[in-house]
Amino acid sequence: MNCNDVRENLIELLTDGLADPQTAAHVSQCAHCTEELASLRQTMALMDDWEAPEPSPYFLTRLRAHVKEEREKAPAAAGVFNWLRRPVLAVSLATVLAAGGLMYRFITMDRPAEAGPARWQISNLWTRTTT
Amino acid sequence: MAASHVPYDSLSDAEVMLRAGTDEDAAFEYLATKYHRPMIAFMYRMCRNQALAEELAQEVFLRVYRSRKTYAAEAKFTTWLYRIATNLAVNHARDHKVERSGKVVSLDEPDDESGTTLDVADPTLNVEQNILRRERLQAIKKHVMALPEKQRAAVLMHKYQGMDYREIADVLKLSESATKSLLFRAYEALRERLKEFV
Repeated sequence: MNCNDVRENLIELLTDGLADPQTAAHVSQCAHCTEELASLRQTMALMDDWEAPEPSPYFLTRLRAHVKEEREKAPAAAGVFNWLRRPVLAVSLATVLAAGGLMYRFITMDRPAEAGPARWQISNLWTRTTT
Repeated sequence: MAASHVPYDSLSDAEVMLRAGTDEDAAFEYLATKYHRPMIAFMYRMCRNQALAEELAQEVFLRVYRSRKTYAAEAKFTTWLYRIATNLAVNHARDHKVERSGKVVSLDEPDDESGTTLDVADPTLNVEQNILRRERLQAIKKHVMALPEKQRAAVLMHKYQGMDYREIADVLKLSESATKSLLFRAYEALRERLKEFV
């Protein structure tokens, strides 16, 4: 294991000490990597200076208000299609659609599929004269 | 959000979130209470503005609430939470890049964005030491902010949120080895840029 193999593992060595034993062994014997580890440790320690401010004491109160708004908004948004959720209306709509579909099928069944209006009339005439 | 007697501490966050999905408001309240501080701190370091950080954190929790019914406990709750937060912060930064560019940070005057002073002087230090401390702090903030988006998010999650490689990798949708490289490059850059302060 050389210095390049070890470099990316230095952070692990610093944060939780769980870096693989080979990394630790290399660092203990390599002056360059020891120096690099110390420098990295100093940088990370320096970053501890950056503290986050305390949150506002009203944060959760505001969040509760937003959540309440959200909860109240939800049924209104779905209101347009709410009527569809009523079983009676949904069954009625399904029946109308099914009836419409059946009627369409019934009408188009009599008509030859590829015949235009003129041909349909002729074929009807021919059917009438032959029966 | 009413109080509850359910011992959420004994459940995983993902289990609590699944309960929130059944409109158990106390479950959502528990998660918001547990994570609002780290979330605001993360957002603060992502955007360097306390008021904005709180606003973005509110939005993060609202998005969690809106998605409560579709939440699938495939990943850790915190992974999901920080993914929402990172996306929100990065998108906000992109949308407001023009507004922020060219901004000069004063060490003496209050921050015009947050309305607060940049940091409170340490009474145990003399004037000169306090100035040095402020400069150091400003340098840390500036150089962290100057990192590319993913590096910045990774460093903040690693250094300040105490997350490990696996978690950061999941949040950023990267492999663990890619995350390791990403963090190494970020810390290397910071080490180089902050060496005058160590």
